Amino acid sequence: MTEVDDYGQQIFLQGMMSRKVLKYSEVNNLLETAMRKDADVQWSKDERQSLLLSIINKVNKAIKPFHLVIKKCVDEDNGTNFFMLASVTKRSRELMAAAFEFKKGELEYLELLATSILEEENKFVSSMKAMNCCSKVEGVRFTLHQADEAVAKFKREKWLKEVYDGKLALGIRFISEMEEWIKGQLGEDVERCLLCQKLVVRGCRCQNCRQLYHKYCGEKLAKLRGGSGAEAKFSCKNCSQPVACEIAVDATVEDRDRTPQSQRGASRRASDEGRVKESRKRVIIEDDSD
Amino acid sequence: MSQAANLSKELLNEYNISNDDLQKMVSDAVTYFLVADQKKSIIRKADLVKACDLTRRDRKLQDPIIKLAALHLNNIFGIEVRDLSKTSTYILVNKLSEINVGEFLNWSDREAAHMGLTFIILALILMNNDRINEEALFDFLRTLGVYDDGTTHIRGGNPQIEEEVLELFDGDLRKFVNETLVSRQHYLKKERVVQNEESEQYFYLWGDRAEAEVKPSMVFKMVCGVFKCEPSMFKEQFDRIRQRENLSEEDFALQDQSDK
Repeated sequence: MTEVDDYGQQIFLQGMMSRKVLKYSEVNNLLETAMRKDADVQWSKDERQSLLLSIINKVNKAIKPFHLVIKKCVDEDNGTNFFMLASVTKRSRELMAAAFEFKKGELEYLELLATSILEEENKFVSSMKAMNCCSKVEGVRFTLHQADEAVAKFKREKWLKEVYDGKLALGIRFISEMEEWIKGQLGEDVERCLLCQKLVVRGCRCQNCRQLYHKYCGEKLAKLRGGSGAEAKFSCKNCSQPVACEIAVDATVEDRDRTPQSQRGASRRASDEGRVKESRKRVIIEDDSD
Repeated sequence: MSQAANLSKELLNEYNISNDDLQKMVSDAVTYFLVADQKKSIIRKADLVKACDLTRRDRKLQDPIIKLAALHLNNIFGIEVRDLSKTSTYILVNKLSEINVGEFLNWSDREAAHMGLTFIILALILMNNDRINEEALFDFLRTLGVYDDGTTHIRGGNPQIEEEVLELFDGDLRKFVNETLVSRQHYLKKERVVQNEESEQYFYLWGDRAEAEVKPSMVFKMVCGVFKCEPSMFKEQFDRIRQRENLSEEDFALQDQSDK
């Protein structure tokens, strides 16, 4: 069978709906089931790719009227590809919470966490800070215990991810499903990877001009030029300086509220107004050594 | 899909609404169905209409819109919308449950436990000639090791209930059966039978959702598999189910162990 039929489409769609976020191997298994592939038939890599593409296109065409889409998203840390069924329209909060199967207060808490994460230069927060957010949940009493359970759930369902031994960063599902929300939060501070033009939250930063790139985009480019591994570098598209393929972490910027002075190195390309806006958010006024 | 296309065309002509308008209403209805079904509660027409903002519109639009949504759900998602014969309520039945798609339907431990127990209870009711009284049901659950009402039994020791197992049902089996399975999900139905002035009894039967989703023959086959015996050993139930589903003896051959 080379064409996917309606039944196959239904299988594929239900599988995606149920699993929410799927790895490549899972998607391939789902594809085989949807196509009712015989165990002894071997598909070439090209055949497989082309079938996958055709089934995704067929499904997307069918679900477009319902503001749903199957999209591919890439993990910012390790470059793993995931597929997920996401909504493309702005839904009401009740509908969102229901669609994501969140309990009372969980959506608000997640958004508080995400806001807190996006406020950080490095785009991650300590779990302590995450727990403290639970008191800010409006309208419903959200206990520490509930916060603890919620964070575990968010990690499991890929809304958040753990980085650097206990810190919380935005997970692949959040970045994919809530892209518009993130852009709204960041405003003019939103950064796009110059290599793929898409939103980047955590990535490799050019030390010279502060341009941010996806780690996986940089690695792909570095590989083309012959570099690989930890020493891999690629040329910044903006200023041509070499950029290392590792996610920039400004170690001195950990837990903003505590450090009285942070050395942030070269200034960001953000406008002065943006900078003032940012420092107002922080309690302590930093000394920017340019 | 042409059925949906035809209906859409009709509505556009008859009711003087724009295509965008129609699309939005149908899209909202489909989304609402999918979202509301996650908890497996029954979907009330009134709630659906409110969520899709159909209350402000011509009342006559409601049914066709719901019908269109149902057509889309059927063709695109493989989900059937069943109108329960009673007061305008719906449940969604997955048409794909027939084949082994179970691998991709991700059940959490909790969901698996709920499904497992529900299935067992349905089997119990089926084998007991379609109804069982409350006491017998909870007695059975007690021997199964999931229910403990604290009473000591003369009949010998109760199996110890594991904390973990109890956790999966939020610690309260009675609540799970009565609130979740009966009131919310309609897998079971509870009937009150008044015998005389003094006593009344409650009986549990298969609910609307069970009737729609589960085939008695499948449950029966599972029971025979568990007891490792021929279907004809349970002659009464065998005959009844065979007749009800219009099946022959061969349909019950025990060779297919693929039923999960």
